[in-house]
Amino acid sequence: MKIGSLRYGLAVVTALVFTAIFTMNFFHEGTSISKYLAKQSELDRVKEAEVVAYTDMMLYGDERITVSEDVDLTEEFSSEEGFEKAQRIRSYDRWFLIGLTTVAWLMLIPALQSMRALSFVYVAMGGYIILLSLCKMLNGGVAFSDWAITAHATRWLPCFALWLWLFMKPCAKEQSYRVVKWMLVIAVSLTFATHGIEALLFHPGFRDLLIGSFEIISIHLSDSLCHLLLRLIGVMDVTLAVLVLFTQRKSLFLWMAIWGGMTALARPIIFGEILWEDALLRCGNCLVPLILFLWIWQQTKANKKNTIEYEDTE
Amino acid sequence: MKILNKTKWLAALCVLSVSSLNAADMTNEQIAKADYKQLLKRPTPLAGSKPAQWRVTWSGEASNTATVSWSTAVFGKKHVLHYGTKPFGLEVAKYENHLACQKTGAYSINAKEAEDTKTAFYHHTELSELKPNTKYYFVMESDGEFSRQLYFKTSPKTGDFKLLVGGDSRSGMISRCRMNLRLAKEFKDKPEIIALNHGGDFIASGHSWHQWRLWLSHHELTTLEDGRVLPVIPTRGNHDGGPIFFEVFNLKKMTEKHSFWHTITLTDEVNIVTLDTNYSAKGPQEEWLDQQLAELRPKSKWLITNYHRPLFPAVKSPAGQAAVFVPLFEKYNVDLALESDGHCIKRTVPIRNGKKDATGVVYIGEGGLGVGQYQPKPDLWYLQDGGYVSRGHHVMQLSFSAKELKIETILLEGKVVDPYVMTPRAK
Repeated sequence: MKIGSLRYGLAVVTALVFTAIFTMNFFHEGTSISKYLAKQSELDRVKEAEVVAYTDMMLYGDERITVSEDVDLTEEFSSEEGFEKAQRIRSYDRWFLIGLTTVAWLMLIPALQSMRALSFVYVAMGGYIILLSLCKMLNGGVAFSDWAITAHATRWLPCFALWLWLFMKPCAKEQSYRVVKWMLVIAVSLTFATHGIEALLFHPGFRDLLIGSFEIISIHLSDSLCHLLLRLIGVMDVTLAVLVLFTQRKSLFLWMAIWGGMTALARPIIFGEILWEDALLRCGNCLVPLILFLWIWQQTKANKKNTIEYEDTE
Repeated sequence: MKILNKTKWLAALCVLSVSSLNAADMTNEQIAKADYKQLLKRPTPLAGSKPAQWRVTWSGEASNTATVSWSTAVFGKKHVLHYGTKPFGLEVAKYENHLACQKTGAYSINAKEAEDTKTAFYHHTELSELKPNTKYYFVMESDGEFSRQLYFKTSPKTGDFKLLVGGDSRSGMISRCRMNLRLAKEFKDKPEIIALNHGGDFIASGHSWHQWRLWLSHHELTTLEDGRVLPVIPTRGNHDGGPIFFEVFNLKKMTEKHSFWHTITLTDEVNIVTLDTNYSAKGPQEEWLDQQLAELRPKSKWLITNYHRPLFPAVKSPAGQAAVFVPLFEKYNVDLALESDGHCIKRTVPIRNGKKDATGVVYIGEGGLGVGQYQPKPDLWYLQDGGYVSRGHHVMQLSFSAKELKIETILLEGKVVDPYVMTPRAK
């Protein structure tokens, strides 16, 4: 196995992540991007900022934003028109998502992977996932949504790594591959560090997963024991996140892959089929460390033979 | 004495000046198109020690306990609630009870907001040993400043009554105020309405005092011209994170995190178990729910659960808590589940074991107290064949009587849709 073949694995991860994003959003209220844009459009329609500023002035004597007493607070257009506008935003968002998901799968065709110009679609995909995380952060209302960008690093950073990998010429120097590898290492580190801190702060979702996991083996987990285990998990995740930045040992990535896979699969196992998309969405938490494990394993093997082959150059 | 008389006249003048804006006198069309600037003349400005932003909160036995709370712009020294079963207007010395605030403090304000938003202070008085189905008149006093005379009615121990149920008032200030007028109109026209069960998402960011103070001032619009206050049964929504929710409603956190669940006994036969869908379903909340439902089912004609994120949603994906809550609801034959969050109107068919079943649980709600509405999915199996789904600003009315529970959805314009009748389960 050549290291270059791992690139294909990374493309599969991206396709799976987009499939999860598609199924989780297309059949429901739309992505966090459409939610944010539709909400902003509605707030603009009802002149929320002016209404709030006017209220601040009249009831509290605060002037956060200066408005005149004569400010016109009538709605820009009717609520039905506003609803239709929001529906249009959701519709565009859905079609855009279908497009990106289709492209993610089409890019698995080997012939397309060899076309360097097409590598830029992964920049678009990575940017889209960052935007999703940013809007999730801005929309709020979800536990720890403020940390969405770093928590989702194993979804968006591999897209940029993949772009670089595809854009490089097959005869690229080892230095370029090192950049790709570091991008993946940082992705894993950011996600594990964020999840570790969330565990230390007793993320409610993590509590449910932990208690549910023990219920499967008929063990009742008390609240105090649950908190102790969450603290241990948090420390483990943060330690791993820091360690991989200094020493890239196979065993660390293998453990991260196993742990990432277990925590992703725990969702549908504990809560039933409805959460299979959640597991798919988190496949990067398992597969990206696995790719790094295979990369280092391959490198070690090749180093012993004194020949590192990154790509098929024929 | 002269000063007191002057204050009384001023208060009377104030009441007269706002009476023309009173919801009870407005037509349905006027409510739906009410002018915000005119409405804003009604809430009490938050200045000095003048009591403002009053609310009556129910959590526990609604027939004999309640919390009366208000806000002031300054911390103050003396905060007293003068109350009793007879009205004495502003002659506060004549009231039967004079209760000093048990809790007073500053609303939490984050550093960023503190730069341009004035802080304010909450004052809570916890009333107990009240008589059921009784009007309690009260005047709030902070450092010599008095509110006008207000009153609320405790819930009856038995008998017929109505309850308003709604959620999601976090954005759309003007629509929120118009919906508050709608609540007031219903409350005025139907004195048997006892309270509003708010399903959560009061505001968009729970950590923002700036947003909470707006909600609190707007809530004054639900107070009737004669001073009747609509009690609130609070639920914590996913946007109501942080400490201010607890400071506003004088609630006790269930865990070290800001989680909150409680049971409210409306009458001897009607119990509402409120859950927190922001917190882990498993562990303490699941154990508490199991124990509460087991205890309440035998003595409840109507056992209702209430929480924010839907388990059978009409718009979004189901809350993660569904796998824990639904089996317990079905095990203990919960009659009705109140949901919010989806910004639409919904009533499912009775559900048991993932399919329509006449013995199952009916899930209603999804929230429309001002927030912009989403497009629901009418093709979901639990909304078809007897279910109902739509969108629009709304509040639901539950009418409890000896023989039945009638559910109606009242739109902002006053139109009533989807009347649905349930009969009690056989014992």
